[in-house]
Amino acid sequence: MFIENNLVMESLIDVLKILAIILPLLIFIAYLTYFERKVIGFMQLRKGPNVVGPFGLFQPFADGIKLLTKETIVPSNSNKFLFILSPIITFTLALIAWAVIPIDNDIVLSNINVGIMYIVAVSSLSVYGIIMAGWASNSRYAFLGSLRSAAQMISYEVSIGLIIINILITVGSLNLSEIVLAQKNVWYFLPHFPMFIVFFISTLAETNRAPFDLPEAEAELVAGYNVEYSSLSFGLFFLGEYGNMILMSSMTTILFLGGWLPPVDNEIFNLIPGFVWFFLKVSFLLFLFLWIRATLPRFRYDQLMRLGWKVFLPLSLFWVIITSSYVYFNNGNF
Amino acid sequence: MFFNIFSAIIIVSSLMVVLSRNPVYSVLFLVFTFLNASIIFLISNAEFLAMTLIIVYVGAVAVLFLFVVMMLNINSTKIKEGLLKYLPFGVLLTLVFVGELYVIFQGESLGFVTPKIDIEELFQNGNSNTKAIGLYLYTDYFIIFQMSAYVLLVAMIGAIVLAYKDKKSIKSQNVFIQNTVRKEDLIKLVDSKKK
Repeated sequence: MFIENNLVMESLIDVLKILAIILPLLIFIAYLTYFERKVIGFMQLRKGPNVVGPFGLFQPFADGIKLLTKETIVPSNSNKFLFILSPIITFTLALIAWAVIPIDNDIVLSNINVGIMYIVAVSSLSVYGIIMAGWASNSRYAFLGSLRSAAQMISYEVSIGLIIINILITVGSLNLSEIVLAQKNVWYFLPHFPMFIVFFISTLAETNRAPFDLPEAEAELVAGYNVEYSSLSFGLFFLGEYGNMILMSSMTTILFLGGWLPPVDNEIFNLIPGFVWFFLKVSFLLFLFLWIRATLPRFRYDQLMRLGWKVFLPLSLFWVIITSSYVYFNNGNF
Repeated sequence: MFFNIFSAIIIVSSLMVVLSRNPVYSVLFLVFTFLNASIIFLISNAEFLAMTLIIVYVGAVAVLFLFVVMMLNINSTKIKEGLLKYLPFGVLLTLVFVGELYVIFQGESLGFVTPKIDIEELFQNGNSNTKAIGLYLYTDYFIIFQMSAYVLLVAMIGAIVLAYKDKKSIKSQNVFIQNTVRKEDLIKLVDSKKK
């Protein structure tokens, strides 16, 4: 009896821990959309949302309620099971990767020793949500959009994988917390600066953001893989996309910007808790995402593929050779 | 118990790969099979293999399958016609595979010399799963590992050779020329009054 009670308590605590990660994340996602509209508004000399609540702060909730109360339309010629399954897959995959992200020293849901591979696996699965959505919609625009999107995501995953190998060689561990702690002396964006740039651009392509937002090139493909979706099913895609943006930014933070570590190890900076630093770094990267969206025009498709396969892949492969030779001739130390 | 549940799911879904009428469903069932196989790896504490299985097979190979199957308009009844023709070959392959597995696990009773990896000793040194695989793959089995990479390379070259078309007949943009073009090359200012 006692053991059973213990088990129930443990699983209850686990559920609370999961909620403690997911709820702030969902609020973060909601306010990321607000932040995006505000930032791009200011960059284009507009005001952005300013009607609902003070400074338009309740705008995300108004959008959400509007989206939820619309009618869900399932096209009659679509494959209904896959049509409904794919937004659920996209949204779920955007959330479950957070199980291994350390937001502070020891604040992580499960500190597994193949953490980085878990994240790569989850992000490689997220192609399926998009490709299934495009196929199940039974619409040419949606199908073309999903093919583009999937090809793009696979291409850039290759260079992302090679860049992660660089970091793994320097750290010597697959555990995310150990990767962060190894950056105590120097954040890896300094020694691996070219890779930091390549990784950031690849995350833009991986999350289908501007200037690589070809899947939703309005002018040619209407809106890409999610044309046929409405209401909540569209909302899940939308939340999944923004969740992936935050996830990719936190991955960049962990791999290159020292995770929860303060920039300089002194007393004043150490007073600020680690998750605040983590939040600040992630927000900075997200601001870069929005800044780029407001600044750069869209890539052409062949340029996108050329950049991924002919520029980033050789570059990151070359950097793997440099890093591993350095570590080899330095007796396994970095 | 978990092993039984997931292996039952694997058997059913891999049957569905062959039996389902829609080829897209076949690929999706294949993905489902891979996912459950990776769960079985996780149960047996092989977390590195589990993640590799998902990244390589689900994230890359099966996506390409799905691409091809979705874009080609495959007539599923036509494929079914060839079922009997390919059945003997399939049975042969299965027998070879089962025989190999038998040699690996029961080879000593047949007189084969099987390389022994002492798993107990490997983990007693505090090695993680990942390190243990690396220690064997890059030392004792290095040649075999490299050879399998060459097999993949040959397959890739073969595919490229089969699909290669003469570039001259295709009109495509040369990005280098596009990027190095200057204003003077395209626009010429002519003074109309002078003539």
